[in-house]
Amino acid sequence: MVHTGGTPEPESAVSPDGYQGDVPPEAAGRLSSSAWSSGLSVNDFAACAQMGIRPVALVQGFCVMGWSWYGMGSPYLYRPAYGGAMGGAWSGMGGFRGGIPGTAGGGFGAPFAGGYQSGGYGGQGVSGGSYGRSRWGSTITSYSCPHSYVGMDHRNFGENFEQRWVSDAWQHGFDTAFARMMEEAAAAGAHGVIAVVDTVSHLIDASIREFHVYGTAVVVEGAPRPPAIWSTYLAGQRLAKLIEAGFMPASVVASMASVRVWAVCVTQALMAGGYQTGGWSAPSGEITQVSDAQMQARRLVRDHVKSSLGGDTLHGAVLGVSWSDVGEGDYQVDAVLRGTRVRRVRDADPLPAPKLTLRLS
Amino acid sequence: MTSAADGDATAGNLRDTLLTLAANGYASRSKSQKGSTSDLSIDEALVLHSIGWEPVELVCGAAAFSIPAGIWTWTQGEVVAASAAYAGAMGRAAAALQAECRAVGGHGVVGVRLDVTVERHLVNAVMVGSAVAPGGGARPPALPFLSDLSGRDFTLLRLGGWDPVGLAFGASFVNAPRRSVSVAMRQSSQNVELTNYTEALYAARESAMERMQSMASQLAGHGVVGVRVSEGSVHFARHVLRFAAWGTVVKASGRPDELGPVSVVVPLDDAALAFDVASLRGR
Repeated sequence: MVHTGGTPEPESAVSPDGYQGDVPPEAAGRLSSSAWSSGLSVNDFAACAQMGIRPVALVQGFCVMGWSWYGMGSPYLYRPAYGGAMGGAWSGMGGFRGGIPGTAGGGFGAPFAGGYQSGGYGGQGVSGGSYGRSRWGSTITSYSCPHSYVGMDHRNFGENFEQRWVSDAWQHGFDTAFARMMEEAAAAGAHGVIAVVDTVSHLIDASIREFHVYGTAVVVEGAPRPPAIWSTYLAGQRLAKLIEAGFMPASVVASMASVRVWAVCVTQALMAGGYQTGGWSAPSGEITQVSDAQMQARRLVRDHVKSSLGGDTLHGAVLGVSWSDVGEGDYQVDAVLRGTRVRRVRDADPLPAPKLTLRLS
Repeated sequence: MTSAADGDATAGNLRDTLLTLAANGYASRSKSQKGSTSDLSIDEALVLHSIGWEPVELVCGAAAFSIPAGIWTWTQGEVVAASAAYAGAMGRAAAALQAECRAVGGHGVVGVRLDVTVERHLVNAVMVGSAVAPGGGARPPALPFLSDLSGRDFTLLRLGGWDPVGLAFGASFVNAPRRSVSVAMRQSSQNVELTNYTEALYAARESAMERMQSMASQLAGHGVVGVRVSEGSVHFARHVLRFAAWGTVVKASGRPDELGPVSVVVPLDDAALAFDVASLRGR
């Protein structure tokens, strides 16, 4: 679930895993003291002051998560009773390289439409949808061997798989840190939180990930408290221009998607330069399965975010993508999309007629 | 492009605006039921809005191409398979970007960021940008334009009577000619020109530029603006030099130039002492 913004109500602050959102007593005391703090630059502070936006507190939220691609919560440790999409994952554990679909992971119930057609490389199967869906993830596309060959060293099945246990963990870390920041903002009596910054980094070592969200809680002087506290990555002049353009920030939005490539034989061969140890060769050309994964990760994360927008707009989207070659043709693409959900609150013709100037430098 | 808005008046209006909006509970005026995404800055969105264009959706195109084994051995001339893989990956990524733009009803994509990585057996090309469309619900063209120029540059081009047509790119990987033993020994003890590397660089440059300009012609463009170039060695094949060039193809629209007279501004705070070539540099 993508966080959709607003101040969590006391009931909603209790997440399904039992976390009770509480501002620590020391923090509550500090937030209610007379001195305020702010993370704004002097420029942004001055611009906000001109608009009647006054900082009340630098608010923060943290969430430290255990982090493993292959550990608890991932399908790599479990053989699911219903098989389905776990077949590729199971075969990827080492014992069933290129095993027959349906035998390695407990049985694929659905036929694989399309696939790498025998004698050619170019088709692709699109499955996903009804089968293989689980809390761990789902198959997005599947690929079959064109060689009509079965062997333990030959991958005659491959798939691109959404690693939902990864993206769900990321979302949980972000949403929890965000909600804790918003609780502090509520305790400070804020109307909104501006200049939000979020970082996701390793803490101590690669098995621990720290989600840190912070921003400056503000009030609009003379205005009533809004129904929900708004938040935005913007501040100062940029925030002024957004409002001038007729938009109002609703909430910071961020989401993540992770796609794993379980390479079919042709993908494995092409990733190694077109030759395979088993003697099978493949023509050079597009590595369709990897191209698909690159597109799928970006589309998935965009869809995750869009599902929370309603009729609003994601402004200033920043799409960060990383990918890594896992070995033997396997591949992983991770995408994070963040931005400010804004909504049009008034009709405005925001820009005076352009005046062209030529700067002689 | 500057705004003539008065600072104090704007701040005062904004204070009133915020109070009015807050009194209404920041009620939405949006008629759209469909959310959209955009990676444009507020400046770019505003300047596009000033000519009646709006962002539609964040779109992407990606393609991975294989480079066959064995082609990086030191032979002569161009590493044809690598150049072909680069062209193939870029072409497929651009086509995927156009297809996605068309699917969301965009007329074109602005601010396209290219991310191309070349490894021993893989070329990975990714293009990401914001699909844009003019207001009024005009029917999108069958082939949307692509441009790596910003929303601001797109606006300037339009007002100046030019239309972006698409992205043109070219790349070439060339083996440096081998030196004779005597030449290699002579050069190793002197600071002299390594003509074989210069030759390879020129050969790669010429092929890449030719491919980019041919592509511009195929797109029926009049020229390429904002050309970026990137050249260097290949870290896993030190005898190969690479050159890549890309830019936005434009053509005259036939519309009159709407930019009007230009005010010349001479800033007196320019500390630069030399021509800044950074604008030409790709990555």
